Amino acid sequence: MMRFRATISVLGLVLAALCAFGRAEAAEPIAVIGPLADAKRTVTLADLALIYRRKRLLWPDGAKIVPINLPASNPLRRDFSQAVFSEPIEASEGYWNDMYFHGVTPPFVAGSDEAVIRFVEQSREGIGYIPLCSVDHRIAVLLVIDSNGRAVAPAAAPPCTR
Amino acid sequence: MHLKDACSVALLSLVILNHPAFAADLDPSSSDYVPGRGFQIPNTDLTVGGYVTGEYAEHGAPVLSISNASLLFWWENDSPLKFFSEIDLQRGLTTEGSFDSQQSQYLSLERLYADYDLTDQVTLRAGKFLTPIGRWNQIHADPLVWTTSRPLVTEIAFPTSATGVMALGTVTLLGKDVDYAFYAAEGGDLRPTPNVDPFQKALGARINVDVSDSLQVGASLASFAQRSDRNELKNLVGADFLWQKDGYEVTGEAIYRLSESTSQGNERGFFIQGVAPLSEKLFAVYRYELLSSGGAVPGPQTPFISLAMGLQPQPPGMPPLPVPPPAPPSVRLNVFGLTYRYHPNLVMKIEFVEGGSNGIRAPIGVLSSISLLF
Repeated sequence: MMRFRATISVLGLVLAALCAFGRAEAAEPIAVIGPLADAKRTVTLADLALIYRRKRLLWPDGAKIVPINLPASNPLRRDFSQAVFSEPIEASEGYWNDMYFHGVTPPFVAGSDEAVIRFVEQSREGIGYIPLCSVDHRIAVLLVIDSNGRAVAPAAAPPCTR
Repeated sequence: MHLKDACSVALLSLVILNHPAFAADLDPSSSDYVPGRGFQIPNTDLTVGGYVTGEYAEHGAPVLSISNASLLFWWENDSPLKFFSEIDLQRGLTTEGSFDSQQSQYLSLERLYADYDLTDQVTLRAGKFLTPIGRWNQIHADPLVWTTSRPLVTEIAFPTSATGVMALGTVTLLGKDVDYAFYAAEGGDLRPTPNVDPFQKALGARINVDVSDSLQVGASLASFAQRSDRNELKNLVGADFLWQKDGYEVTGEAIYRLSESTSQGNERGFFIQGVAPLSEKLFAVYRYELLSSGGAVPGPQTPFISLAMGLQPQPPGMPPLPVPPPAPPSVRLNVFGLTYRYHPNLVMKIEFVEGGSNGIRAPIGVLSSISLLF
């Protein structure tokens, strides 16, 4: 059993390394999404940092902001963290420990792109992010983060090339 | 299977096989309990969490104790209203005195307040809250700090909690995020802890600026009177900073407190603390503290103390010698520590506190603790 686990771990490391090399060449553009009913909302990278640190709590119309994350193992989550916070996900652990002491917990996590879309579609307060190529008619794109981590207006976003 | 899917499976396999708690740490959800992130009671908006600390101290007689068992409760839903409370059983079990001694056990109401999000940048708070002076006092929970002992400057110069109202929030100025808090307290504390002299009245403000990704700088101002000396108004100025990068950390706080009526109410001091990683989970900690207080100390009033201080006995018939003014008590401490973060919510610490000058009898010796955030 131990040998099996070790083998799986080594294989996993090799695949993860391949994955990292592959992704370095083609990081996917990220679409920051909100509900269609509030398509006129705009956000910047600085806004996203405050929202995902639970420091900005309300939309301008007074509705409570509910940010949604992808799982920590999702490469898009790591790209998002790097673009918005300029740091890997693990670096925020201390911050969330401190915030927990004040009764503030990290954003909820949805298990997949589709789960993020469904939550945002059905919640007036929600904001999430998905691969740009996963955007469809159910949600509005508030901001695009290109493959270099820069913010781009939705209208000027590069086309999906998947 | 696409390469991307294979990569995801591989990453997931690594996480599950080698770090079963890792994903859970980062991915709390409302229905799952995640250690160190609290437990949301199903079908309610109530979350319960807390921390517990076991401590071993050896300054004088060795003492083993459960120094803190703290419970956090908060209620929050989609409305702008939120309730938060913390109760803390201090020294619930201790071997001090005798093994069954419970003499200093106390159930403390650390915090009890309601928050109302007035606008995106202004939250109003009413109730009992941690005094926003400096950085340490607001995140003083044992699992969140690097040492078992607490810097004197973070608790001696001001009451650590206040009962009153506060406006707080985050604004962006010149491209920098600025956390602010303005508060006022009047008429005493909700269930004050016995060894704390609470505010009689207080007015204060604090700002904290994210200067860069790795540096935060804060400043605190307060004007207050305490219950034991309600006519003595004290003015306090404080400054603090936190620098973090690649596992290294340097933090410091300084305060200067002036009394408007007597110099005995004056106090000034600072600490500076550095943390360096020795391995992924083991950290070396060093802290230097200096505190100077204007409070009086006993003068050479008894023959024993006079002789011990090198004063000659007064010959009979001679006029009394002028008694020199008492030197202001001060303390200078060096803290050398090791902290092992076994898991983000489980921390073990050991430290040696050395006092070169210890006019206010701060505890020195060996301290160790194990703390769990749950």
